Amino acid sequence: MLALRACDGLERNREACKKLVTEALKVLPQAKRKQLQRFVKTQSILVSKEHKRAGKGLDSADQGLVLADLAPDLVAAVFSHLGPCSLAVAACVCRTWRTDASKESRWRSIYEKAHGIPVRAESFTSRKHYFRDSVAEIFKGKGRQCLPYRSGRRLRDGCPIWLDDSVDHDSSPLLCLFVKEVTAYIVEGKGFALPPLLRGRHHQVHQHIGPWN
Amino acid sequence: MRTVILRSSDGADHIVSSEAASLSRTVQSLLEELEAKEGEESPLIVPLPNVCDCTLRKVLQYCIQHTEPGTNLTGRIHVSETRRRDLEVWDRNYMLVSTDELYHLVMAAHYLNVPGLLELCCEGIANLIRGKSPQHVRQHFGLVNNFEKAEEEDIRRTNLWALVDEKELAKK
Repeated sequence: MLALRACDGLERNREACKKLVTEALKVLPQAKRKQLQRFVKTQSILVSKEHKRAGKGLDSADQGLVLADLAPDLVAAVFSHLGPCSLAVAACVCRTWRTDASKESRWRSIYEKAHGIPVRAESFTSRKHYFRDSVAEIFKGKGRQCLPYRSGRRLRDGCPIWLDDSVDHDSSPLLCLFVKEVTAYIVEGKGFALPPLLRGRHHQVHQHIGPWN
Repeated sequence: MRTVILRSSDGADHIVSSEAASLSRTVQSLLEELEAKEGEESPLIVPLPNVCDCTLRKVLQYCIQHTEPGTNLTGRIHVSETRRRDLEVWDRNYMLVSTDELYHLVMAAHYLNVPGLLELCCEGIANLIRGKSPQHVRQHFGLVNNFEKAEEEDIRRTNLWALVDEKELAKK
């Protein structure tokens, strides 16, 4: 924090500040973290005001805040690639994202994929958010463990136990849902090996991803 | 095969085959207009004021790669399996770019209307969202949390099943 104060305000130090903050956030306890976040918030507001006064506007490159102003149809296109867990997270991000990520049509297609069959339109229309709730029902208690949260910590620590159970019945549509999220990390080369459970199952994993692409 | 000159916002020219350039629907329709106006023989120069040089170069890499013989062009039904797999690998490597580049790329793909590239970029962005907490996503995308307190509580409760307990993580 002290180090931050020392270098705040200086333009060229901003990149370094950002790194410092992210590092510090990992280490500090909860209370300290909140304090730091507040501090950073006020600071960055100051910075942006100064910028506006100078007539420059925020330079997106050195802020890392680049994807803020995606067009709505682009956001929609992005969301169509998301699995259930990520979609639920996206809904919690901000108002515009919530509106899009809560659309029943999205959850409906996930629901259909999970069950492997198309649903008849008229059968479920009576309840609001029927599909979202039913998908949530499937994932309850499991979603938390399935997410390779925060740069793959969960996966690196070892494969979640539930995956063990569902791999036994290979055709389980539930597995397909998870595998997509999990393998994205593995396939995209995020820097760690295939979890032991999935080792030697590349082919199978890809098969599972198949219908999702 | 005809060649086309694409001119980026900073005035740099790129010479590509018309086949590759036509992957962009925007360019394709511009080309048709130009051809009708100027006749078949004159050189075709397409100015693209919304795309900067380095992004255009990257986009053209994609276009050229995807128009090589045996690629999935409209009208050509037979695509060899190996070729398709090669392209997939190529695409994946192609997507190893910084967030910043990705942003410019997706905007360019949107403007130039290259469906395949747009799809690829969207998947790339989706991968950025995957596995992050809402707070993390906000930081990464520069989004502001504009929920009212009650609203946020509400949406968090509905989607609780997908969220890792922040407190739980802090303890570790």
